[in-house]
Amino acid sequence: MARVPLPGARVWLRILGYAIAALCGVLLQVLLFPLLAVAGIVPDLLVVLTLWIALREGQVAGTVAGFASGLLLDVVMQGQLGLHAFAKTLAGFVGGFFAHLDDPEWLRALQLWRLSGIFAVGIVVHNLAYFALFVHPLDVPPLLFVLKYTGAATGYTLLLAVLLLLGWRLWERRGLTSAR
Amino acid sequence: MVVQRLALVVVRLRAYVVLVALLLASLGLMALDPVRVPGVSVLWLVSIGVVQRLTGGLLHPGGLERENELLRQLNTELMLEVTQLRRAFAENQQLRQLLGLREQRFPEAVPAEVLGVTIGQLQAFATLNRGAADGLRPGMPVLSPFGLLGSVRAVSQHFAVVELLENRHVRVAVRLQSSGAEGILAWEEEGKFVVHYVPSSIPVQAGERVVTSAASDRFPPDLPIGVVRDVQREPTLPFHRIVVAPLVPARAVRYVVVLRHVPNPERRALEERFLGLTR
Repeated sequence: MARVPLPGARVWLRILGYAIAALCGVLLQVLLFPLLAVAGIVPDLLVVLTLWIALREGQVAGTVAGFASGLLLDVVMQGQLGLHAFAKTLAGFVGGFFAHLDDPEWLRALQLWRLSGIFAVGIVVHNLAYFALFVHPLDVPPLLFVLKYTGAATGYTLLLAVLLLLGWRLWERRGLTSAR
Repeated sequence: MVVQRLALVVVRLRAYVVLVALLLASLGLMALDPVRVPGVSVLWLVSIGVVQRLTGGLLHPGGLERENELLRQLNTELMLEVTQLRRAFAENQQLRQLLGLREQRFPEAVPAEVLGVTIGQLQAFATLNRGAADGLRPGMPVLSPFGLLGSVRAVSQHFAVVELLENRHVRVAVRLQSSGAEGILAWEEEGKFVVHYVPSSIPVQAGERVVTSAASDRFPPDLPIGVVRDVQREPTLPFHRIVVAPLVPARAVRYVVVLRHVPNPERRALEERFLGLTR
């Protein structure tokens, strides 16, 4: 079935679906992901969701989704208000560059490694922005701090993204098989 | 005509317009400290407190058992220390009376329960079930039975958010108890703090206890933080890089006390003015 692009008749249903996904993502991020922390780094589910929305719905929707999900995470995580919102807004915008809204099947047709590459670009941009704003004046040298933690957080979040994409692809394949 | 053209440009560049607007909004939020905006602060804290109260069990998987185990171990060690301390305390009492010093450093510590710990990217916060109604104020130190845990960052009427030491932004002035060396403690990763700026000419041994220093009045002096695990040399700098193990992982703590100690505003203002002059 062809996807209904924004704006469309089922636009509110789609927005509601993304909002519910974001709320579930925040709950998982707060309740479950701290248990997966390695050296203070946790995978970021909401940046993966932001990039997914950006790829499916385009740049404007991705940017807005990034801001909204980031702000939600900022409020729940108790850290610096606006920090996640800033980084995820940028990630949503960058993710939107890769979207092909004219072809509803492009995400399904894209090879997994290419899709993972797009996610990697978005996650790197997100983490560079996040850690560049997070750096402490006493962290010497600051560039090394930003690169070290950007690398670590990107690797961990990308692993999560690839696992989710694999799951999505398997689920899609199963759906197609059962439809035949 | 001009308005139409402008609208056309905005529509064509709408992605950039949205991006710039939202980035500016994010930066505005970063500049806005939610603690200073009562409405935002209360909403923020109460929602966190309620969520964490509802999900308390999930946030402490095995935490209570771990804390019990650690407390039993600590109890045995304390039993051995009590005998020595009683004698030392009696001597100390006499000396204090002689010097006219006051007893009881913290007569009004507030006990509290940790509702939950939130861990983000290199950040960790805890929510307590006590707030402004119990006399809590931002900046007050929070202690576990093992030592310093962090400081109160924000309060609502019935909840408080504690910025844990396990936070990349937090720096604490510390003293090594045996060598007397002073330095700045920063959290590096789980189970690991690092003390910076201790000159390499000062001999430092593994096993030394690390306590808060009187150099800063953010925390009262001599609150235990951890034990020196390893002493390395800072590459290219004339300082030690002292690896410190915390006395207890913050996530295993359920009950704490909040000390009604706030930094002296006069001292802080003077120090900030001095720092401003030397910059």
